[in-house]
Amino acid sequence: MGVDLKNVIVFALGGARHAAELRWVREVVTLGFVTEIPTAPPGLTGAFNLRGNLVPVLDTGVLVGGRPGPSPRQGDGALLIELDGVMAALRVDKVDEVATLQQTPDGTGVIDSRGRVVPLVDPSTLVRRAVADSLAVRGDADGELALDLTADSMRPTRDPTTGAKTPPGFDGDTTLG
Amino acid sequence: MTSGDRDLLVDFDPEELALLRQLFRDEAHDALEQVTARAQSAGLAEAVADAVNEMMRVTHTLKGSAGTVGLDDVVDLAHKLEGALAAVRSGQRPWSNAFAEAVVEIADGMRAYVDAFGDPARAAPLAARVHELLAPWSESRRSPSPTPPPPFGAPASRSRRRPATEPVPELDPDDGEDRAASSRSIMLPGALPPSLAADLMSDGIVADEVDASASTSMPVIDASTGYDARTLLRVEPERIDELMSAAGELLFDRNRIERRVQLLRTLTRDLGRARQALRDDTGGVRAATTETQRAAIEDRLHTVEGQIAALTTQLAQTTAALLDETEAMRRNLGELQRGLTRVRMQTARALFAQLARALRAAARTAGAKVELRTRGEDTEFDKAVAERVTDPLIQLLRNAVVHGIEPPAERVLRGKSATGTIRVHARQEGNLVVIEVADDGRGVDVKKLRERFVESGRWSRARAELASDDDVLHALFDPGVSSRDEADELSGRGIGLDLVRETIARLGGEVRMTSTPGRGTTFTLRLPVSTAVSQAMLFKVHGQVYALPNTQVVDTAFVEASATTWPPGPGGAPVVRLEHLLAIPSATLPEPAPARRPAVVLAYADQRLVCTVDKVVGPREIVVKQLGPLLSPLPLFAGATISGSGKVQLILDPAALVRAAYPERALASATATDPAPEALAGRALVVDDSRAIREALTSMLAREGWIVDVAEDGTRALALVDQLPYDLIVTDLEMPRMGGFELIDRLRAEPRTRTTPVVIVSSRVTPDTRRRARELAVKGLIAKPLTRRKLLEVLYPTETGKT
Repeated sequence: MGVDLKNVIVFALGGARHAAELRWVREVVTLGFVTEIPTAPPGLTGAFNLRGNLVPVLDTGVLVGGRPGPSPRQGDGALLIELDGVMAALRVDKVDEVATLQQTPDGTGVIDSRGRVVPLVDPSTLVRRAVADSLAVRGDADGELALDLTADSMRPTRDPTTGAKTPPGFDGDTTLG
Repeated sequence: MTSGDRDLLVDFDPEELALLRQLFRDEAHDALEQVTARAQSAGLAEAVADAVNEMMRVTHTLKGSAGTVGLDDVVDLAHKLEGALAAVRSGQRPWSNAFAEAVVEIADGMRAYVDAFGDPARAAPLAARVHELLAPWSESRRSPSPTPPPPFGAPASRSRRRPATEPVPELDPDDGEDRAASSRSIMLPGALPPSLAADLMSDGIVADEVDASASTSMPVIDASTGYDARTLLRVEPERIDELMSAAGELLFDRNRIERRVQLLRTLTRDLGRARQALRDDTGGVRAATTETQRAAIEDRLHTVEGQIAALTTQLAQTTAALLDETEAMRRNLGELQRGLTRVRMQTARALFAQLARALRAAARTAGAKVELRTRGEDTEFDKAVAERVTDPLIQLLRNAVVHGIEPPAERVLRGKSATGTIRVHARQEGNLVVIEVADDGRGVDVKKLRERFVESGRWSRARAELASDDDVLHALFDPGVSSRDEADELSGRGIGLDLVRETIARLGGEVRMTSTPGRGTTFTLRLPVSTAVSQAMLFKVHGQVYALPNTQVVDTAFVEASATTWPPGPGGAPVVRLEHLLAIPSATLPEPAPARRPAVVLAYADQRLVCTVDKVVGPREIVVKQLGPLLSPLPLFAGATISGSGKVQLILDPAALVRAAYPERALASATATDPAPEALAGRALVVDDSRAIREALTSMLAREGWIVDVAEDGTRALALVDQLPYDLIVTDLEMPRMGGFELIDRLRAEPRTRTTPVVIVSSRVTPDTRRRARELAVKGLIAKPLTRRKLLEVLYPTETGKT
C-alpha cells in the first residue's frame, strides 16, 4: 500500500491536538448563545441558533479523551458536522489548520507538517452515539411496560412437544388451550 | 347513501369508512396527478410505452382501492381509462396529442369527481362528464366521436378485440359480479336528464373550458373571484385533507392501541387460568401416591408450562407492537401539529396547476402552441403570498403567450421548435421564495423599445440615450406601457406589468426582468416566504426562557410555595415545580424558594396542571422551528423558537408534561375499551401498496384477534419477516419494488417461512394467477374489491361453510 493521504482539519481541545477527516466537517462556526436542554443525555450539551436553524452542540471531550469537556459558551469555535441529515456542532478550543496530511501506518493518526503524530478522531461516531442516546431517553420514558417482559419471554420455549404453537386460526383452533 | 355503503358498513364502522375514503381520496389524488404528469411527459421526456405502462399500473391500483372503499363509479371510470390505455399499449391506437390531452382532462375530471363524491348533486354531473370524455376513447379506436358509450358494453367488446396474448385485465367472475353492481350505481349520474347535464356544462359548472375564470374543476382555487385575500384565507382542500388524514391516522393508531390493550387483557385472563391450573396441580402433587398419578400430574404441568410459554411469547410480541404503535401515534401527533402550523403554508403545486390551466386557456384563445415546464413543486410559501402572486403570474404567462412566443411558422424560420416553452421554476433561497417565469420567445428588443419611448413622448431623447438596457427593460413596469400596441383580450387589459410590480412590492417582494432578443424573456420574482407564527406563553425557569403553546395555557397565577393544589382545596389542579418535570437538579435551584411563585396553568385532554416557574414573561408571537433528529426524541419538547436576540428557546409539549405529571392516569384512560376479543389468532403481515387497503385489512384482521403489521411492498415485507415470525401473510400482487409473487417465491425458499399461510388479495385474478398461486401453495386468493366476507371465507373455510 502506498502513502495514504487524508484531508483533515486539525484542532486543539483540552491541551491536545486532534485531527478529523474533512469530509465530516461542513464548516467551522462560532457558537451563539448555547441553550441548555434539560433531560438531554449527557453528551448533548445544548443547542444554538445558526442562521435561523437549531443546531445541537455535542460534547467533544468524550470523543477525544473519554471525559466530559467544558460547557460550550457563546463565542467558542465549533465544527459543524452533518451526518445523514443530522446536524451537530462539536465544540473545539481552536482550529489549527486544514491540510492534506499523511496517515500513520496504523491509520490512527496523521503526521503534521512538523512531523508530529496527531491522533485522528471520527466525529461521526459521536453523532451516531448522540442519536442513539437521545432515542434511549425516549425509550425509557415510554418503555417501562416492556422492560420486565422482553428479557425472559423472548427465549424459545424449552419443550416443543408440549404446547407447541401451531399457527392458530387455521385448524379451526383459534384458542390458546 | 347507496346500497354499496350499506354493505360496507358491515365491514367497517361509519367512522372508519369515512376515514378510509379520506385515505383513498389522497391516494386517488396522487395517482391521478401521476397520470397527468405521465400523459404530459409521454413522448417528450419519457418513452410512450413506459408512460403508458406506468399510467396503467397507477390506474389499476386506483381501481382496486376504490372498490374496497365502495366508490364504484371510480372503479368504473378507472376501468374504462385503463381500457383506453390498454388499447394504446397494444398498438390498437397510436399515442397522440389529442389522446394525451384527453387523458389529462379525464384525470382532472376524475379528481374533481373524487373530491365531490360526498355530494351527489355535484358528483353526478362530474361523473357524467368524465364518462363523456372517456366515451370516444373507451369505445372505439376509430376517430373520436362525441357519441355516448353504450352503458356497459364497452369492456366486453374491447376485450374481444384484444390479442389473446396480451396481459390486460381479465374479468374474474367475482370481479364481474361487482362490476354489475357498480353499473347499477352508475345509473345515478346517467339518470340526470342529458339536457340538464348539457346546461350544467355550458354554464361552466363542469367543464374546464376557455379561460381560468370559468374553470371549476378545481373550484376552490379559482383565482379570479373578487373577494379580498386580506380578510379571508383560502385554504386548499388538500391541506385540510392532510389535517383530516393526520387526525384520521391518529384514530387508526388509537384503534390499534385499544385492540392491543384488549389483547393484553385477554392474555392476563389466560395467564390467570394457567395459574389456577398450576395451583390445582400443585395441590394434587401432595395427594399423589402412585407413579401413574404422579406421571399424569407431570403431564398436566408440562401442558400448563407450554401454555404459559406461549402466552409469554404473545405477551412480549403484543408489548413490542404496542410500543411500536405508541411510537407511530407520537409521530402522527407530531405530523398533525406540523400540519396545523403549515395550514398557512402551501406548496407551489396548486399554484402550478392553476398556471397550467390558465396557460392552456390562453394558448387556446391565442391559437399559440406552448408547453409549460415547471420545477420546484414542493417549494412552500405562505398561502396569502401564494394567493396574491397568482394573478401576477398568470399575467406574466399571458404576456409570454401574446408578446413573447412567436407563431409556429416564425419559430421554425428562426430555427426554434414550433412549440414554445415557458418554464416556471420555484425555489427557496433563505427566507425568500424565488419564482422564475422564462419563455423562449422573441425577447424584447431594447433598441426598438428605446425608440418607442422617445416616439411616444414618454422619454426625452437624452434620457433614452443615457438609460442602460436594464433601465429600459424595467421601464416596462411603469404604468401605461405596453410593448405591443393593441389591447387584446389576453394581456392588454386587466393588470399589466405595472400591476405585477405593484402586487409583488406590496407583498414585500421585487420583480426583475432580463431579456435576450430572439431567445426569450425571464421574469424573476423574489418574495418573502413568510413564517409560521403561533401564539405562545413564555416563562423563565432556571435562567432559561421556555414557551408553551398558548392554546394549552389557560391561566397564569401566583401559588404559595407549600401548595400542592391550585386553587387550594378539593377540585384544585396539582401543582408541580416545572424544574422537577424538567429534571433540573435541585442543587442548582436558587435557595431559599420565595414564599409565592408564579405559575402557568395548562390544560391538556381534560387534565389541568399548574407548573410553577421562576418568572412569567408573557404571551408572545413565536416562529416555530423543528427540533431535528437529535433533539426531537426528547419527550418534553415540541419544538423551539429563536428569540429576538437570537437565542434558542425550547417549546414544551403540554401533552408530555401532563403525562410526566400523571403517569398512572395516562395508562388508565387507555384501558377503558370494549370487551376483549375471545382469543389471539396470531401475528399477521399485510403487504399492499395502497394505504387504504392496508388499513382495511388491518381493521378486518384485528377484529378477528390478529396482531397485524403492515408493509408497503415485498421488500419491506421481507425485512419484517426476517425479524418476526408471522402466522399469516396477506399480500397484494402488483406493488412497486417487489411484487407479491416474487415475495411468495422468496418466502417459500426460506425454511422458516416455507409453510407460512399466504393469502393473495389482488385486483388482477386471472387463470394464470390462480395457477401460480396453486403452485406456490397459497392458502387463498381474494379478488378486489376486498370484503370482510371474502376474507373470512378464505381464512376460516370450515366455519363460514357451516353458516
